Amino acid sequence: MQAPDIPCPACRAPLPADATALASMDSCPACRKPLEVIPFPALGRLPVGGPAPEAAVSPDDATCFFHASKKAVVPCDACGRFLCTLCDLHIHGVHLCPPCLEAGRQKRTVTALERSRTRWDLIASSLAVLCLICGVLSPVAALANVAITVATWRKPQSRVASSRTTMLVATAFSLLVAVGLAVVLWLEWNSDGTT
Amino acid sequence: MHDRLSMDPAYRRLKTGRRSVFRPHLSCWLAADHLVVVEVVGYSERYSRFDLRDIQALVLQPSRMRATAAWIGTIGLVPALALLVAILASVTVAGMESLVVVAFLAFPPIAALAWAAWAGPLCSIRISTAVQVARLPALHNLPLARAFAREVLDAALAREASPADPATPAVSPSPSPS
Repeated sequence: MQAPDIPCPACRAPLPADATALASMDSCPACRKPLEVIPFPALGRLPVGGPAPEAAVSPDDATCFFHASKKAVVPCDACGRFLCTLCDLHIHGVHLCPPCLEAGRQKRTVTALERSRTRWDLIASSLAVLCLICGVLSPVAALANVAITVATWRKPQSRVASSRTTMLVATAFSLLVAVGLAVVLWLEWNSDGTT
Repeated sequence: MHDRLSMDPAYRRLKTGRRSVFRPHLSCWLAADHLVVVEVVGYSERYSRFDLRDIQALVLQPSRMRATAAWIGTIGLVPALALLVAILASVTVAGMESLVVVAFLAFPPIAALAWAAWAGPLCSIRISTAVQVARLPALHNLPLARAFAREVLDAALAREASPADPATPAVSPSPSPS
C-alpha cells in the first residue's frame, strides 16, 4: 500500500511525495501555478491501525461482549460492556462500544462527532430585525422569537458564540418593538377617537 | 471540558482574519492534539476536526487577484481623471476647485491600492490528510494563512515529540469480570 499523493489545488496533478521537495516548491510542476506546501510530520505515513485483539486463553479472562473469543481490555464508558481492542472506539478521551457511539452520534451526546448545529441565536436576531421592518406584523415576529427562544433554550447552542445571551437580547428587543408599536397604534386610535 | 470552545482552556483560537459578507465566517481552534474548524454558513455552524497526526500538509495557493484588481482600478482611473480635468478646464472652473474634485475622486482607488499593498496578496488554503483535502474558504489572506500554517505545524511537531497517548486501548488494564 502506497501513501496517498497530495494533489495540486489547481490541476489536481499529484505533487512530489518528498517533504524536502515539497517545502522548497514555489509552483506546481504540472501547471506552473504558484503554490506553497507546508509538509507535516505525517506526510507519507500510512494510517496505522490499532493493535489486533488478543484471544482469551484462560477461563478467568474477561471476554469482549461482541467477540466471545477475544480478551476484553476496557469497559465501555457509556454502557459498561467489556470490549476488545477491535470494538473499543476511543473518542476524545472516552472509550465507547460501536452501539453507544452510534447512539451518541444520533442523540448528539458525543460532541466530537457533531458535524453541525443550528444557530438559533442568528435566527432570533433575524426575527428581531424583521420586527423592525415588517410594521403591523411585528407582534407575530416577536411571538415567533419568544417561541424559538423558549423551545431551543435547552438545545445545544453555538460552540463559539454566546448564543443564549444573543437570543435573550434579540427577544427582548423584538418584544420592545412590538409593544412600542402597540402603544403607538393605541395612541393613534385614541387621538382619532377624540377628534 | 466545556461545550463552548472559547470557554474551554484546552483550546486556543487561531487568527483567521476579519469577517466578510462574501465568505462564510470561519474560526479555527487549536488543541494539543487536534484542530477544530468552525464555519458559520447561513443559520448553521459546521465543524471539522483534524487530528494533528493525520494532517499531511497545508497547501497554500497564492493569488494576485487583489493587487491586480487594485492596479486595474487605478490605471483605469487615470484617463477618466484626465478627461474630467479637460472637461472642468473647458467649462472654466477655477483651478483650485477642479484640483479638489480630481483629488476627491482619485482618493478611493489610491487608498484601495495602498490597502492592497499593506494587506498582502490573497490565497486559498487546503488541509490535506490521507483521506481528504479540506479547503478553508474564509482564510484567504496569504500572510495570515502562513502564520496559521506555522502555528498548526508547531503544534503538530510538539504532538509528535510528546509521548504516546496514555489513553490508547493497547495499554488499558484488563477489567475484572465481577
